[in-house]
Amino acid sequence: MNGYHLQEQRDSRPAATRCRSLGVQLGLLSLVLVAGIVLSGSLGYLNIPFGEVIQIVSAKWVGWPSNAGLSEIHSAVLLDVRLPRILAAAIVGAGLALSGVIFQGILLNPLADPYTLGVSAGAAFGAALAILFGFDWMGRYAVPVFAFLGAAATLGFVIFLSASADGGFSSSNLVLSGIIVTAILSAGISFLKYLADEQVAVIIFWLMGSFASMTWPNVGMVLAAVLTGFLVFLFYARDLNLLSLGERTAASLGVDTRRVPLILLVTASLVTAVCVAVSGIIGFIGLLVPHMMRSVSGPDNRKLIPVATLAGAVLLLTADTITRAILPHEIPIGVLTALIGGPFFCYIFRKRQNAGRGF
Amino acid sequence: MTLQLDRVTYLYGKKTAVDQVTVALSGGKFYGILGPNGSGKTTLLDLMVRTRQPDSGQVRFEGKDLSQYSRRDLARQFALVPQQYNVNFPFTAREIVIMGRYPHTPRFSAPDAGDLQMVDEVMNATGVAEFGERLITELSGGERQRVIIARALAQDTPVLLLDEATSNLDIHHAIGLLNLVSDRVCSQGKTVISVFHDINLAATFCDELLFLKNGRLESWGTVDQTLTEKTVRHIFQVDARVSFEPFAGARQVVFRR
Repeated sequence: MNGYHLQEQRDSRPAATRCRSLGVQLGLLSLVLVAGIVLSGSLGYLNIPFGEVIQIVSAKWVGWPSNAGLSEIHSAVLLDVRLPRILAAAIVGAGLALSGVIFQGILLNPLADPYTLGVSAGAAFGAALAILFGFDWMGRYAVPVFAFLGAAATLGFVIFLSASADGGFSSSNLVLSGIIVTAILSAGISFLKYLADEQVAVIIFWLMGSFASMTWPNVGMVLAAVLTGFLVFLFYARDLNLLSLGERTAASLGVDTRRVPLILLVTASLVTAVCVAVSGIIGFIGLLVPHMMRSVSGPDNRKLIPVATLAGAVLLLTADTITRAILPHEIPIGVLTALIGGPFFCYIFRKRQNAGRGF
Repeated sequence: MTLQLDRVTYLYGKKTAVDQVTVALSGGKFYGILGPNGSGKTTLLDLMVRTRQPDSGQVRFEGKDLSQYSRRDLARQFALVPQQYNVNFPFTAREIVIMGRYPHTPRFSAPDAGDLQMVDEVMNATGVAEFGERLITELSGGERQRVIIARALAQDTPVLLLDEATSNLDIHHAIGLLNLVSDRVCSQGKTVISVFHDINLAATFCDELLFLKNGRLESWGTVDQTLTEKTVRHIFQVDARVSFEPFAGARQVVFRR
């Protein structure tokens, strides 16, 4: 009787605290994101007042009010340096969070994140190769292109490795293949670092991730990838809900359980690959944001996908602004997300254990 | 409704799970599938709804080969209650039941009033309504199983397949749910095909029984025809006494140590 009573108390809480109004959540997050962009645009070595930030942007894109009287230095700093970096950080954050939702949903594994299938290790290996061997004829695109190719090749190999005889993919096979391939590639990266001599610092910095020296073409690339992914995921959001009931049930409710998971995994990995190619490896966003947002919006992927996308953008933008404008020295963004995200993850994990509910 | 299996065979690697099964099921009946562990009962259900494709032989639904139906068409004809009913994310019980309406609603539409009415109806009928707003991950095994059954009923299909759907339920809920589905067989002409472990429950509720052993269909027919001491001994290798039990209204089996 006592035990039953306890159970009742425990169960009634989470559903009640879950705020279900999707419109309110999306509205609030969008507001925070826009405010964050303006705030971040004003902060930095040169302080630009909020009003001027808005004025410069609106003069540039809407043509009104005219840019007469605006500081040219402020304009240049904001439009050529800060905005590309701010937008790239927000979009990469969105992409990583989005991919995290998909990976956790398909692999039915709370530990899954966008790097589970070895995409990050593949990208790192490709980038290290490019840094080590130069490829000068490709200019500044060598590193992102090689990072993307490394990630895509790794994804292909992991999928080949985990396909069973009848063409299905079990989540444990995928996770295991990802771990094996990541281990091999990590050894490869260590070897490249060993060979690299003085260039080892460049490799290490790339691995830790950075949004410094972002350009508008970078922003365009990640935006195209993340937007495509977002639309694909939203299209299959309902099927993803059904997949959480197990493969047999999903199939009996009309989901093509061969094709849909594969489409989603490949799309999520490619979105991640583009993000990593542009910014380096940034951990914890793809693991943490889906967990946090699932307790806010509920597990329904039709709500979770847009909410997590916005939350990921806000979070990574905040982290990048902290390292760029607030800390006395810029520390690598990947280090910062892990330093903040890791302990925070421990905290919510412990809290849920105490409440008696795992993930 | 007609569902015909014609010399259907399915292999797991080299092991034959379903071996040359030929059977014709018709609408408005309650079928029970019985057999020892590993005799191919679940695989047979999977073949009937095309979760698996036969290695040889043919499955025809309404005279047409199953492979000619789209996944979504099949989801409007067959609902499946699987053995495994873990749900990995904290949906509420009601959200799970609503998923049963997905095959009937377009991809980007919310369920309409008719869908929600159907959901409320099955939730009340299965007793799921009382914990409808609780999280599926925090329900007991039996409660979760009832949610999954409610979800299948909300799918409102002509054919319902149950894979040991009552295995985790106490006898009150087991009988309640079997009554619920068997009412739909009588009043709405639906077809239920159910895997059972409890021979007596199967005999009480089913019109016809199918006995499987090592993937072969050993015996098929009405309860009176098939449920004999000889069959039970042959299929399960246990000694049993079978007799008509007026209280149950059907033949029942008793065992000894």
